Amino acid sequence: MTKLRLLAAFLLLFASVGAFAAEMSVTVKQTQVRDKPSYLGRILGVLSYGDRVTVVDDSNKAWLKVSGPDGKLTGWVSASALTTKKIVLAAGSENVQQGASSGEVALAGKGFNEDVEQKYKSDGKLDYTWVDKMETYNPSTDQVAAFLQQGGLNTSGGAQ
Amino acid sequence: MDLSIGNLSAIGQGIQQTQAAEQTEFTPEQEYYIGRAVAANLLSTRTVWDNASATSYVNVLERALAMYSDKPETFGGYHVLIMDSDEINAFSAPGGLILVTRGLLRCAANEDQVAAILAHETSHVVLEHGLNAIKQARKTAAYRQLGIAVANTAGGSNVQELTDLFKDSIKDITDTMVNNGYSRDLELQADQMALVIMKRAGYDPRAFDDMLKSLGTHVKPGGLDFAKTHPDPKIREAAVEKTLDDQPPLAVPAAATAARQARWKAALGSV
Repeated sequence: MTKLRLLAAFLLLFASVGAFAAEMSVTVKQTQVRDKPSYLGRILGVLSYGDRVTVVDDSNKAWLKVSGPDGKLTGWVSASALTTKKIVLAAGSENVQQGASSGEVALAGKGFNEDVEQKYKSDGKLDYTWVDKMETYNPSTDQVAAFLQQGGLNTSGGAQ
Repeated sequence: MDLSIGNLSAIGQGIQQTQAAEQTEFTPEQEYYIGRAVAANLLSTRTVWDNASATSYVNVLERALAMYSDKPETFGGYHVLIMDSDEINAFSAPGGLILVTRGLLRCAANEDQVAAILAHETSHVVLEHGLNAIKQARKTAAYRQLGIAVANTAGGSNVQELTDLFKDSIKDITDTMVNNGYSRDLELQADQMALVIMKRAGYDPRAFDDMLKSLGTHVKPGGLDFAKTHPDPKIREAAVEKTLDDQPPLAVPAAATAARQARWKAALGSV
């Protein structure tokens, strides 16, 4: 009887772990892994475009607790920075092509990409100076936290 | 109307779901390149107001608002630039590059009203209204070219075809933004989502109504800037007021109000 209970408990544990072990990819240039589901949480590490993560907790809609590619970095990432699609950088194999047409795979650097931007820029003699400059405007977590706190605003650090 | 955060979230999600059917399948990375091109185009005929404290302020405020939206992160992030123009106008390129004029910022009487402007622009990004302006035929052609790009292993390049499509796609977006404006429905959707974002962030959404009233007094009917591309402020007010439905003012501690007023004045006093 005890053995059966033990087996049942083991299977339940195994099943619940299995249900969480979804893999996702980082779909933005760079994202932060934090110690809690909040933009005001401490940054534990950074992930880059295409990095694969394992989801360990998906109970919160806006934030996912994930384990990074090397298994060492675990923490919270915004759901908006992740996709269930596998992001592949190089294309060429048939599986990838099939994946691309079925929507399971997103091809990094294909389609409208940096090469297209370069050609578009030179064709139209367009100046991207201010576009590049405005992309450097990146307030820090501390700056935003202070702004929210001093302004009597919500300091939860994100939609929950 | 129930204005609890839960219900406002539901409104926000409802808006997102209706948009889901119309959302493009461009990846965030592609959206990023599209957005950069749109912004570069808009900026090619406009001057930037390079005021460090004003720019820093609107970027911190934008980050605070985006944080409470349904899409806090885009490929390259949300960034704001102020255009040196008396015209009343704002543009949000796909992916989060937001341009607002000094003329528009002048219409805001306090930080909460600036938050209203940026929450509305952020909503256009979250709802992918810019991307949706790309004609279906171009999207279809872009997919075909993507397939070709994937199949090209060594040597072959279809960068010319892609660039031509890219050019046309950018023009679809800027034509919509600058000449026609988004449809009334999309503008009203952005207004509704802005109320959600403001409430989540801790701003009184009634400030959005105040901002619309201010626009009503400043915008010249029949003008070539705002009036050409946005619905009549009165129509927008009616929709916003229906949602707000006589909600009492949000209680804000005096110290917080004073802090917002002080930093708003310090940053945008010379706008």
